[in-house]
Amino acid sequence: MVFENKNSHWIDPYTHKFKESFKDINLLDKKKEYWRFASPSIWYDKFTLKKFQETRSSQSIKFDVTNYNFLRFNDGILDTETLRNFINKNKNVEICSFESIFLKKDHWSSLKFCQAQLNAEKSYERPLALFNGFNAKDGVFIKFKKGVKKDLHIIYEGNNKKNCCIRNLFDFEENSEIKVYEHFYGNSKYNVVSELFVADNSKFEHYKIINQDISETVIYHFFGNCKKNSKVKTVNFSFTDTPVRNEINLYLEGTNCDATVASMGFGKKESSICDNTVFISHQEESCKSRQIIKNALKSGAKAIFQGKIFVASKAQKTDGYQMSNGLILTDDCEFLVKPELEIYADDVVCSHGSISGTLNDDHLFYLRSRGIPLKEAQKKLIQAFFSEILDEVSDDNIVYYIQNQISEILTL
Amino acid sequence: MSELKLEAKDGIDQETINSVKSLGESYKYGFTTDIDMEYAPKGLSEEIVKLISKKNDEPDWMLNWRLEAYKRWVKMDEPNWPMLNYKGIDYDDQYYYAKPKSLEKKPKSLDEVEPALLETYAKLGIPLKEQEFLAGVISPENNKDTKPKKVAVDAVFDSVSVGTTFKDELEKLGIIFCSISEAIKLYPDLVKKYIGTVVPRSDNYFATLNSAVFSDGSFVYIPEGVKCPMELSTYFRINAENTGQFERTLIIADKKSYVSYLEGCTAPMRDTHQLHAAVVELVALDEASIKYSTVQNWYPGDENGKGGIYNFVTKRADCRGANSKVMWTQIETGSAVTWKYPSCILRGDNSQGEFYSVAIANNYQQADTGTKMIHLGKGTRSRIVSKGISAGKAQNTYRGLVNIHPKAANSRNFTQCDSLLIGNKCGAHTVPYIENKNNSSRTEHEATTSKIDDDQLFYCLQRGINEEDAVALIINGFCKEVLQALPMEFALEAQKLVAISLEGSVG
Repeated sequence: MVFENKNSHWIDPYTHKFKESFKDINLLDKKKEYWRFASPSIWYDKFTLKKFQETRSSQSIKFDVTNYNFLRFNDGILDTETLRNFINKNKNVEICSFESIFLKKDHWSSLKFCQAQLNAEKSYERPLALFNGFNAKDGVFIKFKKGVKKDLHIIYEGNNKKNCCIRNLFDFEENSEIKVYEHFYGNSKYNVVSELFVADNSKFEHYKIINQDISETVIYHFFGNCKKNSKVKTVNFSFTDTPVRNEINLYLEGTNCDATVASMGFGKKESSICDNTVFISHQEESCKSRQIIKNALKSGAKAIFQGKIFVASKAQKTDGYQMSNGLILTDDCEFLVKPELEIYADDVVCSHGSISGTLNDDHLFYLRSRGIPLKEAQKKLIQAFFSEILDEVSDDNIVYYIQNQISEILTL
Repeated sequence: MSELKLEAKDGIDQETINSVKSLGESYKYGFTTDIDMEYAPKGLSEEIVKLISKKNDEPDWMLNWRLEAYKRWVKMDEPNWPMLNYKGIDYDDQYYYAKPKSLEKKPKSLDEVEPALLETYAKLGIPLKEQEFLAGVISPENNKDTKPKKVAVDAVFDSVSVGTTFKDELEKLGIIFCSISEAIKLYPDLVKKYIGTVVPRSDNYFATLNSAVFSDGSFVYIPEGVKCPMELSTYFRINAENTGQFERTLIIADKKSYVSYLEGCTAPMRDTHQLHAAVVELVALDEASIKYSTVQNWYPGDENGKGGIYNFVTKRADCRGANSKVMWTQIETGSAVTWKYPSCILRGDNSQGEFYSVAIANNYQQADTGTKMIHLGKGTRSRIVSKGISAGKAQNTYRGLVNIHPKAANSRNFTQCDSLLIGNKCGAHTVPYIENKNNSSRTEHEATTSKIDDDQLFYCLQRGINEEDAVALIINGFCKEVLQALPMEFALEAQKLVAISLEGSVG
């Protein structure tokens, strides 16, 4: 819809394709296996209905980014000043906004744009990502050149109740080491698609923090293609009481890839739905993947995990691991998981586990016998429950920030 | 038996190796029996349903029940969600009823049964004459002090029950063990009360088909407080070509009763696929306990995937009473396609469901099997142990559901599903669904997929065991947990089956 005013452009066929596939099939049919645990309307209706929450759920302390490289989106539009600052400060990085790729005929991104998503759509369609495909208004396209080491924070803010469809593309050349932190705040609705191309020997860490004050929804699709010896880690933190859908698709296309997907969620209200849908496809030999999902649930909150490890017949020596834990704190919560393995190679080690239940009585008793009051003991155990996810974070400032958020929720 | 135990401690189970070696042929139940058969016309219509009902001399309520199911079935679609890939079944090219002509008049005793029929069962190693023990399983010398073991058998040949043994002895205790067609006539109230209450008439496509055309099967009723003194067992045999077998089994264990039930299945080798769609319903009332064991060894098709049985079975247990218990044990080695999810509805407080399964798929076999544990009552417990083995070009899927309802407080589930892959052209898949909806319950699930450990294989080879035997040995170890849950009568047979099914899959 956004592109209709422009002259024809290389991007148009993609937009058209997404629009058509979205129209073609009844993708939002809630009887589909894809929507088994949560109806698509939970998310989709948010973008079609103009209704917004009247009150902000709660304020959250913002992470201080002044000493970091950062980009900011206001109500889904990239703040050009932050973009200029970034360009001035950083070499060996090519960056532009989604809008500006229209200005150049042969933009470097034209070869990659939508490729990761289309690759993933081959196995099954992701309706909400298709929706993004023909509704995206802005985004950031970044290419990190060979050997670059960088941190980048991206802040999504908005206080004007807007629908924000954002499309990002991250391209890493060989031997680069990049960390991207994404922070979500405000009362806008977010539908973000990030595509990721990790070249040989590159390392990419991705952290996404969905803060407490998000009052509508965040739908995040992450499509990654990983080449030889690359290392990818994506960690999701969700503190909001609104529906969040975190969808990760990683294609390990080269040998010796290493992929980690971690997600923690703390739901405290009935309106809280934390949905993690993960698909990791092992296409080549000797790749390793790990998925760790942890959800604490209170007062009617719901957590969903649909994870799949796919191992193609030539992907021998695969090491796949999947763990989903649900900590159910009150009686009316639901923890729904479907950890799947689909394996066509014989020399593999794949395992998955899932445990759900409440706090361990023995652990509580131990702490109380040491003189710690019940409430305090419960808090400690909940913090300990999440510690495995925090271990994945390499930046100490972020670890403190997350720990503070958790304790803030626990004192509520 | 003590001798066997000693050797097992040494790490090598000599018995297993011997049994593997002694079995030369790959599917030894593949013979056919030439018997004059009486068929209903091919295809499925209301007339066929009426005919089946008439042949069984059924009362009107049963016929209406069937017709209602048929009407529903016509409107249903075959499910396409399993990970199974097979040519569509032509439901009009099947015989829905086949009966040996000699059984036109129901024989009064086994002496009146046609010798060819009895021979068939003799060949399968199933004693239809009342026997004190199963030959070859428990040798009398080792069991001098113990009481001889008895097994009552109901044999179903194509569409009809051939005969049931030990009926009199069971009757003394008030136990009813007969074919379902007899039960409909003799105990209509019991059948009426329970049939279709666990697996509703239109539960799924295949159960609905079964409800319309089921021809025979077993019926068991254990009265209150009775512990069934012997194993009850049914042997199903498909013999006629192009014939679907649709049996229906209904087991009711009244309060504080116990029964162990065994089920075995074989079929001849034929080039065409044959359809088998059974329904099994178990009802366990207060403090009752049912143990249901299956060795499914339908013809799996040849090594090129030609022929074999399409096995679509709906099995479900309803633990209605408090403290009731149901245990499913299954060894799935046969069938070209298996679609089977023995489930437990844990309705009674503190009821317990267990599921032990070994599913082996070789050559072009495909299996999509697992279980459902639905926790409704408080303090319900379930345990799932599933072992899947894929070899050749086979696909093996575990599909399971554990659902703990908000009101099922203090429930527990433990699930373990392991898959083993032999060769890189096969597939092993795990699709568990775990839904926990209250905070006092706990679910645990673990699954692994791997190949045969090189170290274990090396150890066996180095001890002079050839590769194929070594693999059989390791696999037996892999399945041990499940094999141990089987009644003695089946355990050895199952162990042999595991070895046969994988023959030729190594190297």
